[in-house]
Amino acid sequence: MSTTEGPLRVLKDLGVTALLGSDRSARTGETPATLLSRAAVSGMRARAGRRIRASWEAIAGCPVDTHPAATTTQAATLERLLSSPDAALIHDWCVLARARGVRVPPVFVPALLDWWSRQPSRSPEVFDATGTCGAWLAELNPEWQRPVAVAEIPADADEAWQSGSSAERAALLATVRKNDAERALAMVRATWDADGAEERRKFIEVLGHHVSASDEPFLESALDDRSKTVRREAVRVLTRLAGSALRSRMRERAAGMLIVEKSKGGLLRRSKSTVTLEPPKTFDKAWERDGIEEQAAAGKGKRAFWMVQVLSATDLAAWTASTGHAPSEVLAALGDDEYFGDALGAMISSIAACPDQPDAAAWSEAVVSVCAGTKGVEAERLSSIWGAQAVERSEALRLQYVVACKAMRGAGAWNALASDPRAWSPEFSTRAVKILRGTTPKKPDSWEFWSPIESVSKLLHPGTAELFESLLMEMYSEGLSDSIRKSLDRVRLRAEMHKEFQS
Amino acid sequence: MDDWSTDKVLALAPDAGAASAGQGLAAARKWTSLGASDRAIWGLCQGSGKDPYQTRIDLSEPVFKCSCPSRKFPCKHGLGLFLLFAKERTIFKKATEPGWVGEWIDGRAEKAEKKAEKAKAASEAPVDLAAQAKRAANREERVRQGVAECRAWLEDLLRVGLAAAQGNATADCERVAARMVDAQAPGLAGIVRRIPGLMASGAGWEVRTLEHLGRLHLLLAAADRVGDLPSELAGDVRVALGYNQPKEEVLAGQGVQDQWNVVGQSFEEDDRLTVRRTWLWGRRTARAALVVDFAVGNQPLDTSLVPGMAFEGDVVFYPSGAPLRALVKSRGEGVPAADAFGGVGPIGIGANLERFAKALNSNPWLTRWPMVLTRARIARSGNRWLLGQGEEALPLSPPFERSIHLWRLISATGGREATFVVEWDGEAAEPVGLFVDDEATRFVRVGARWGA
Repeated sequence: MSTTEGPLRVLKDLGVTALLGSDRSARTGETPATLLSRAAVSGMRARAGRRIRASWEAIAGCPVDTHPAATTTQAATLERLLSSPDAALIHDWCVLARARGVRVPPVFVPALLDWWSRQPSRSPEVFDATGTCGAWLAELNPEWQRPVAVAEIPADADEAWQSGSSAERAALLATVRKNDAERALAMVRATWDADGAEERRKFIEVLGHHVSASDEPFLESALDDRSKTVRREAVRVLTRLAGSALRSRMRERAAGMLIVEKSKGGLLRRSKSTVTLEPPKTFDKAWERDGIEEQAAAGKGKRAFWMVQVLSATDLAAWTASTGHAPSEVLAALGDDEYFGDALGAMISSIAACPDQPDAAAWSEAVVSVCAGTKGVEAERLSSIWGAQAVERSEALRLQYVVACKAMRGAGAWNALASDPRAWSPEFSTRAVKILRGTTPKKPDSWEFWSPIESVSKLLHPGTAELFESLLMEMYSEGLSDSIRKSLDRVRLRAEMHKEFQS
Repeated sequence: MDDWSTDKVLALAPDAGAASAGQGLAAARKWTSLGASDRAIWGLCQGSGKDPYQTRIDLSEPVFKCSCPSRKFPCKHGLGLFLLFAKERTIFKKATEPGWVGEWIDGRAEKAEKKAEKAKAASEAPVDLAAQAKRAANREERVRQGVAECRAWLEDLLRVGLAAAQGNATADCERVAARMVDAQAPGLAGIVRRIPGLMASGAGWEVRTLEHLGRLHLLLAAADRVGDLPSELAGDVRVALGYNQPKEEVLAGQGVQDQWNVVGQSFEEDDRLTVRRTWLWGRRTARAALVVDFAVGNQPLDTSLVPGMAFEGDVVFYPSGAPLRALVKSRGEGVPAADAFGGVGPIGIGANLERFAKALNSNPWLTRWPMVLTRARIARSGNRWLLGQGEEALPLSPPFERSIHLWRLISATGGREATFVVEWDGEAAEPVGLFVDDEATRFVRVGARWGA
């Protein structure tokens, strides 16, 4: 045994022999036993004498966070949520913590970030709740870094705009757009010619937020972009912009499709007009620039298809103006038209596409009441209307809809009330649960109800938890199925969580 | 009565699921008839059954009992009740124990007494020495044959070469390991079963495998001459081969009195067997003791040693050249494990490695060695993560580095100095406990069982 050579060196040499087998060893007299003995000695010497390289660099310490850490009880709830992740509840927890100026205790931050980084929508609220600890860990772990739109425009915005990745640039643009809409437009224009089609599309999508007349010339020019996806995105944004030139062009086209005939009434009656829809007979190539598609899906009439596209981008005020009728009267006058269904669909699309258009509130109400009385218009279709309204307005419309739908019993009412994904206000929660109590049959089928019950459990205001619980108990007095119990647990847990943060 | 915090109660959970469910039950409205006496707490919890479950906890150890059908131990009701107690002690009003609480505790005491009497009777009863000797001789013979077979196989392996054997290693080793179990040498089976993993461990695998095989060779050689070896070394050889020393025999030995701190815990799950290693640290003697518990399937693990707690008491070591494995012989009142390492000065990496070398000199088959690193911190070298301390650093084990536990460790220390408790296997460190100083020294769970 050599004493000058290090044991690890010897062991490595022996390893070569061991790989090939002692039969093929170049050393004379080497047997498995001698090889193993020498390996045992060198191995033990190496093991006992192991000294560890001294060069290491400390990592920078986590910056002090002045926010207090969540209490043990609050943190235990978070840990529990993470053990069987429920995105809505985790998000809720983080928003509550943030609102109370409380941060996630460091021990739980990695599990939370790990979960967060695997979510399709990496919600900034969750990341924020981790405080300085989260930001510090994200610097150490690249997997937890992801451009998240931040509150304020960073100092190096212009440089980052030139050199960032697509995702980083989009996030940066969103931040700038929120704070300084004009500057965002200028940034997009500055690099427009060099950007790829998908980047251009994404940037126009971002410009769709806080869009104003001053964006219009640029967006109008994008209607002639070489990429179709860019052109279509520009159409979408210009359609949203009330009073845009695109919308005026659509309105002109629509004028040719609305045939209004004033008929004379009797002596004591007011003059009454009838409204007829006349879809275009031929496709005008100039329409393509404004995003109107020529080819209808199989089984659909081309003419109606073209008309619906035009009406969907037309102000509903056009109907009121050309007939002189209030919205509900227009709808009544149209009632017998063969294209009534198409028109109603187009009106819903119009409100959804441009919620800021004139008379939007009156029209929303009128459309919702007609839908409530019309078979075949499902709540799902109306969800684009809810989404286009402010939360309070959407809640009022949904209540109106459910109350007006006299015939709506059972799961339909649940689905309608839950068809807007935004959290319920306390007042709405109370009224909604009362309505549901009146419309839901006793012992309903679980399979039909579990999905809307699950939706409601995510939306309901925590203050209404007990009311909701007693509703479920009434419905299922003989015991809850597992899926419904899960929803009930969620509601209870949220209520508990809110209480934990209130005390 | 011990000072039970939420954390400490959660450490009793048999798994993350029970911990989570227990937290859900730690709310006053889930319970009725809550009560407490000097030695116990209890309550009724409405489950899915018709009658509420009767949940009770004997606080002396603590011991749980619940009328629910769960096989987990403690069950979620027990944990929930205990968590509630930790959070809101005041809602447990002092009361007379109902029958189902008092009778159970008295019954336990009676049983323990009977067991002790029986044990005493057994120890006094005449033993059939001849039969016992015959059984022992039979086993010796089978182990001797197993050792011979194992050697023949091992030498064959080296003759054909590791490269040629690599492809079929898993099946081959499993066959040999099963033979070793038959030969009543489960220690050898365990060593053989580790070979395929080493063979698949990436660059340099042949060196790691050869080192392992060298140790096996050394053990086989020692097994042949076990009669000629000094008694402590002979004992270590027998443990490595898989002989068990009965607990009673060990407990009869001389204990070491100290303030024993529960400083770390690690779990290993193998098929249906859970092996839990609990590391104790004697504050005055500055030495570590390892308590190993086993549980098959859903069997409960002993819940008396909770990380972060300490007790004044006697710990008795299994005889060994490098005593480490131990049993708790007697324990007094539990106290929070504050200042567990204050009895000694800073403990360096160098000093730890020297202790390890000394221990190897006495028992070359040691697989894990506890290290306490005070004032150390998480560090980096290239793309490896280390524990740095002064001029030295220990690499963390690659599986640990790749897991979320690394990040828990980093996050809990905030990148600052802390006291780490690790298991050292000769190559890399596996953290099993962490003490962080913020307001007071706090124990943080870091073992694999406690991830998200």
